[in-house]
Amino acid sequence: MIEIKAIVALSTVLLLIGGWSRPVRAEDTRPTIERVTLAVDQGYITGDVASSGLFSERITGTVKSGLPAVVDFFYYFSTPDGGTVSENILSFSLCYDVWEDIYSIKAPDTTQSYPTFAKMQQAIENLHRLKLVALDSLDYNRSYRVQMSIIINPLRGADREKIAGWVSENMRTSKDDSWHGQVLNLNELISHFFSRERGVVNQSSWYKSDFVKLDSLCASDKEEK
Amino acid sequence: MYSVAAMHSPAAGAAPDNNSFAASSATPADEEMTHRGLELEYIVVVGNSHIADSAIIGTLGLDSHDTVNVAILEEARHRLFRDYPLLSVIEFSTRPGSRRGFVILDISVVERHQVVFETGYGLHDTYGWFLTLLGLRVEPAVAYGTEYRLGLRLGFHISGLDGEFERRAKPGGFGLGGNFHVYSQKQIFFGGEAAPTSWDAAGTGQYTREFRQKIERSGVELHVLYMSRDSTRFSFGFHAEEVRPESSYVESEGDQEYGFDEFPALLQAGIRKTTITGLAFRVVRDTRDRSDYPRSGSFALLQAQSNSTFFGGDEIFAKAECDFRKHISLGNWYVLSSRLTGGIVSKRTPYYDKFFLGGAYSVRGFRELSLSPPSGSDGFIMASDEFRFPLITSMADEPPRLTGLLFIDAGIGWERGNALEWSDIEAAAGYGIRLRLPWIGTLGFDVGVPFMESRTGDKFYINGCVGFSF
Repeated sequence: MIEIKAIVALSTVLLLIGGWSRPVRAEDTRPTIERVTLAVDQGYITGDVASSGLFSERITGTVKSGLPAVVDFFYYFSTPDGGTVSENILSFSLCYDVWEDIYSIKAPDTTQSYPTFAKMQQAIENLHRLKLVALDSLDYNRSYRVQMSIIINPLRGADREKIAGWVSENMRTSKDDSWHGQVLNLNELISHFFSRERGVVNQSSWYKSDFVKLDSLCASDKEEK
Repeated sequence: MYSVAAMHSPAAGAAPDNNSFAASSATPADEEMTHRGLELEYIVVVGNSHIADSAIIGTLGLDSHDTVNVAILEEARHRLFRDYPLLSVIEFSTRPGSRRGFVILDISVVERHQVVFETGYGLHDTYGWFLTLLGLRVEPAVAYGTEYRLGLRLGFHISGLDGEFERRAKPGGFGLGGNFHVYSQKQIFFGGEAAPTSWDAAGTGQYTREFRQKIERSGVELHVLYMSRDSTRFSFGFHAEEVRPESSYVESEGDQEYGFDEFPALLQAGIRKTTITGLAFRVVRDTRDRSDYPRSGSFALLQAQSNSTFFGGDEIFAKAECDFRKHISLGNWYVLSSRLTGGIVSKRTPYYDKFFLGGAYSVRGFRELSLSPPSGSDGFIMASDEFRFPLITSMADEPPRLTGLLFIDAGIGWERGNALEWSDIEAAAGYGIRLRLPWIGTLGFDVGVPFMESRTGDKFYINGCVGFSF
């Protein structure tokens, strides 16, 4: 019994040391979605997206050096009963031509240019009439809300595999597939709860709009016109 | 304020892509940069405490005054990920250099813990549930690409210590691996009112009594790995194992003990301390898009072993198994999955190394191991079809929180010397659910209804599961 207690105590100490001493990077600016306002425009649900905190030191440095940063807008529409529809990602590249001294925002089909970094920043942080989903792919009589998150990375888009989180990396099977198991990384668990510093976070939390009924959105659109 | 609404104006009639996550790839703006050329001034590495700056920079394949663009930097980053599994996070960013057109590359890394403690649980398809009380994983900084793992396990029917090491093989390259185990296992078999000796090959009796025999096994294995360029893994190696079956067994309910003479006759020959040595070969090709909830791709496993007295062992037998799985996506986490598996052993194979059908990863709807006689099956073929569908969805690009499934399993085992008949096929159909929980993983159960009367008399059976059955 004494040996078991000693083993448990030693293991606990080692775990705490291992979890606490994990090296982390300095805190960085975190993107935030301030507001998403939905509307109807030309048969699409569109959104005015106001965000902030996109331009950390790393992102700003990358763009100003002449290499791009990529902003990914992850979003989906959800219903009150928890169903999700219309998952999508919109990506924009933020670029700077060091030779022509021109900043630009590139979407899949268009490019918009800006004379200064500040104007480009203002434009990407205040997107207007972003086409999110075709109106006829949703149920006109139901309520929906949009949930959106931004990831901004220097040089490339979001790393899809990393978004799922480390828990899903720990399902393990034996080499001959005779057993199946789940392991919990105790170091990561302790780091998650006890570590004072967090790693760089380049993803915003998920913004959730209010539920809106499509028929009322369409009615508002007709009134404006 | 500049409006960027004009930026997101697809061609008339086109609609945003709602069904797939398709981010933009290299853009014309990047190509322009490539044409003009940005030059690398120097590289800065931060976040590393075990791996030297020079080692990281040396792997990149980049020097001062090299032309850089997104593609070149991505390739360098991929090279770093591949050569340094110790790095869990590698992020590149740049900043303006001392002159226009020059860039400074900043590399921010996070090193994994060299020593990782783990805990967990699992399900062995022969020996049931177990806990991993404490696991230890070590990836020493001085031996990149090599991982050592040690696990202390405690379960209802299996307990012990196991460990393995692997020096990973890169595509087109070789690696090395090995493992050891020291287990105490409970071999499960079923019998009728007159104890297991009443078992008959036709299995027409009602075998409701469960018996357990303790077997201690300890062994080592060493193998060479090769990974082909299309990620097919080959391994070839040597193993040695000592097996000590107990010469008595107990009934699971009541703990009544039975002696050697009351074992089924086919088992008695294998109840002795023995050493097994031989060679093993394994091929695995896994093209599934993900292992936790495969939606597409396939999995193929072929393994064979040949044991003889050449290396000092006591047994001469051979064993071969194959396992093929295919997953077809029907869109939005609806998946059709199929599996075909089979195996065969030679004469004189000890009963504890034969095949036992029935259970969560075998033919569901039947108790674990209940579809084979106490002496095991000399060969088997098994097929499963499963339709998986989301019940409660999760966030974008994550598997559903709750998944439902409908399945049909069928299998047949045979014993050498007994005639094989179609009526020996055991089959069941049913439904199940899988719940994906944070930290804990995916747990679930399957309810199976046998098409014919089961040997143990169960009208239906519920099998618990870790992850999906295949």
